[in-house]
Amino acid sequence: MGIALSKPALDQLEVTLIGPGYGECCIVHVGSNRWLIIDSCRDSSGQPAALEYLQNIGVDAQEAVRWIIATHWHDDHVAGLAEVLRACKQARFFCSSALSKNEFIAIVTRFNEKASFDCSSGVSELIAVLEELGSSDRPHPSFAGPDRNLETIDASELAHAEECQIWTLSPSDAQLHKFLREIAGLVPALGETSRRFPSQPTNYLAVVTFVRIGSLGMLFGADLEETADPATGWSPIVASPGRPKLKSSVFKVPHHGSENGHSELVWEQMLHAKPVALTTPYNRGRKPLPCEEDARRIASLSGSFYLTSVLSKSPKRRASAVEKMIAQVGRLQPISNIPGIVRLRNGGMDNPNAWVAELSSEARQMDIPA
Amino acid sequence: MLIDPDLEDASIVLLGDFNPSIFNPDWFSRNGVVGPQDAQLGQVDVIHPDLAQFRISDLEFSIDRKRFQVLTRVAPLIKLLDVAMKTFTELLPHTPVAQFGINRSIHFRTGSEEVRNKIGLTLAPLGPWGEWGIEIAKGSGELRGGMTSLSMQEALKHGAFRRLITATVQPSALIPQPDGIFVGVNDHFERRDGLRDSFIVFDTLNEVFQSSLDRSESIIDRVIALKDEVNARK
Amino acid sequence: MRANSPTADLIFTNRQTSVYSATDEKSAGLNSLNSQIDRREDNQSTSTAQTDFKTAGLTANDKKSITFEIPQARRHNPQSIATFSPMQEWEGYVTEVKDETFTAHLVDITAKRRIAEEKIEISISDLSDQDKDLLREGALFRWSIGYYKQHGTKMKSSRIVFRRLPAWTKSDFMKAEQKAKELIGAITWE
Repeated sequence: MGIALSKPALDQLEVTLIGPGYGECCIVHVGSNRWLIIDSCRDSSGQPAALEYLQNIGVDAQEAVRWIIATHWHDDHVAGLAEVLRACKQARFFCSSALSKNEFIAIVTRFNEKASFDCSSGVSELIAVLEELGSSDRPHPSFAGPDRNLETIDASELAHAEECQIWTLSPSDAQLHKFLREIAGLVPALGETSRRFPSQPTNYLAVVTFVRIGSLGMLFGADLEETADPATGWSPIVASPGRPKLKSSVFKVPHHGSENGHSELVWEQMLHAKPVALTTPYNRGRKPLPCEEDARRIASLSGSFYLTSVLSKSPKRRASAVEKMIAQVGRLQPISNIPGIVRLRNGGMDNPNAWVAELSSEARQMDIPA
Repeated sequence: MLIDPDLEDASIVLLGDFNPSIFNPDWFSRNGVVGPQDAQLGQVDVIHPDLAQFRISDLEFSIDRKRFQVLTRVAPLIKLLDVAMKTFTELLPHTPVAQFGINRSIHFRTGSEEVRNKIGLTLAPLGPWGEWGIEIAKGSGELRGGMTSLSMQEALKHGAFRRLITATVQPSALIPQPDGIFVGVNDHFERRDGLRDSFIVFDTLNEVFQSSLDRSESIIDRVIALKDEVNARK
Repeated sequence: MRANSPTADLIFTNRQTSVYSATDEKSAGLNSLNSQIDRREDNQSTSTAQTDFKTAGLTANDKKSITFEIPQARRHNPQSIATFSPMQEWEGYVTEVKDETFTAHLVDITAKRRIAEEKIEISISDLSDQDKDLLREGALFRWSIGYYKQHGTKMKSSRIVFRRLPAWTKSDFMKAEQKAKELIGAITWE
């Protein structure tokens, strides 16, 4: 890790984004050693990245992590989540109500009966998460939803003397309904040859999180994509009369900076001008994200824009005889990055709006090209 | 593995109660266990109530009333697992199966009979055999004596199973030159309580198959590495 | 080391099988018939025995010894045994199927990896006809690259073999339903 292994001061805010190119995890310090984890991924040693990071900076996750949010069920956002839950027994857990729906659990359990040993698609992780949520030694889980205040902490309880609120802004019922319709098509049929749990093409269900600390706002866009349907995507969030109206100065850009995740309305109405923006890359789709155009767009809208790691373009080297035979079949492209970290810490009570970024060696600040 | 062996194979063996006469290339093809084109190239030796032996493409089947074996010498070895799982978890789920084994073996050449003999002496020195060892060492040519077979075994618990990993080293019977060595590893699982619960058997087989092969290959690699060690001592 | 006695050579294929039987490796692979069966080198016909079995009720004693003549073609000459040992193998899963190609993510089995770290687009025409029937999103396959050896010759080979996995059965659905009930029943949502 190329960043200082030290805890933030009790009055300092921190936003740390970890992204290995497959999966992301966001860790937020709201003050007084109270931490929020949004999503989970694994680092290069296979450990849950959030737990590894907190341990490295000397934070006792069991005591300090108070909230865990799972934004959606794609395998790149839940890897290691069950372990995180087990390690953070005191933390309240929030997710969309999809996880309570019989239809979703039925599909997951069916696929889990046939889970292949080395192509884990996140199904076994979901089962492990559900098992952990059912254990009696932790708080009951709760649903995330539109305009939902998960927690309010009085200013007197926090070292920076500002009130803290944690909100979720989605998913709406319409988004949930669309999701359930989409996954209905994934149900395996009797007699069908077992296969890997397919990827869901659209991120209808992503939980958008907003954290307010005093007059400072932080918006975490998960993987929510904008859609043409005014009832789904970013539009209903922006338009919602019930959401907190405070604009954010820190923005976790949704869906790996893609065009699909971009909403002009969000930048205009939910963010301060030139916020600090950060996101993780993704290279398992048709094209790597963010592409150059995406990076340029985001950089032009932001005060600073950070990427947790940069896509490796070079495939793994193998013996020349093997490479010759590979070439006869096709071109191998890498889809896995070394995990990178972008950490933002503010100046505490003295300078709450001054964010200082620290980057691991894999991370990059994305400047607008000259 | 460290080398590309001269000959190799892998197999899954199931011990239980079987009906050999139902198994044949056509049955496997009709039930989707093998592809139709592979089944058309099937070669049958015997189909009998007590024994079935046939070949489908690169899969060799040998089934009697107590034993089901599928063997291949051609990668991907995972197809052995897929055959066993599809046959006994989907098509014949009520077949009582009590034990299973995953086997991996190779034959490789050491370069010379002298090196092969030195490997044998490394694994089974003659010193502990006292006077007899001295007598054995005197033999040469067609009167040469020494190790004919060596087995090492590790016993483990794996959930409800007792697991025995047995590696055997012998002169190769299939390499015509006198410098060949056979190494075979049998990874055997049997219920500790003697119950025959096919569900757990196949669940476990599915869980351990790849790691078992990896482990067997690392054991085999250890024997192969003796060739270089012996050569280095020259 | 000294080779085993010559009589061991007459065993159908690998004489190592006799050792497996002797050392009580119950599930050791045999690549010959086991010792219940007499192996005959001569031309004694088995037809009478086979006729008897067709209609006669057999007692345990009748089944003591079954004799089969092993077809000559099946006696392995080591040179004739075909082997394919991969230098590199991946497990792939199909992520997208287009008209002429499909895209897959690859897990490097040779390097003992557990997650996909590479992807590739493969021409559907590279697949055998019987594997084309298995092509769909989520389907698993093994891609092996190495040398195919037989009759003393060595040939580079790249093989894509789709896995014929067990289908979902009623029992799977029942177990899944039971598991789902347990999971749902155990969680109290606030």
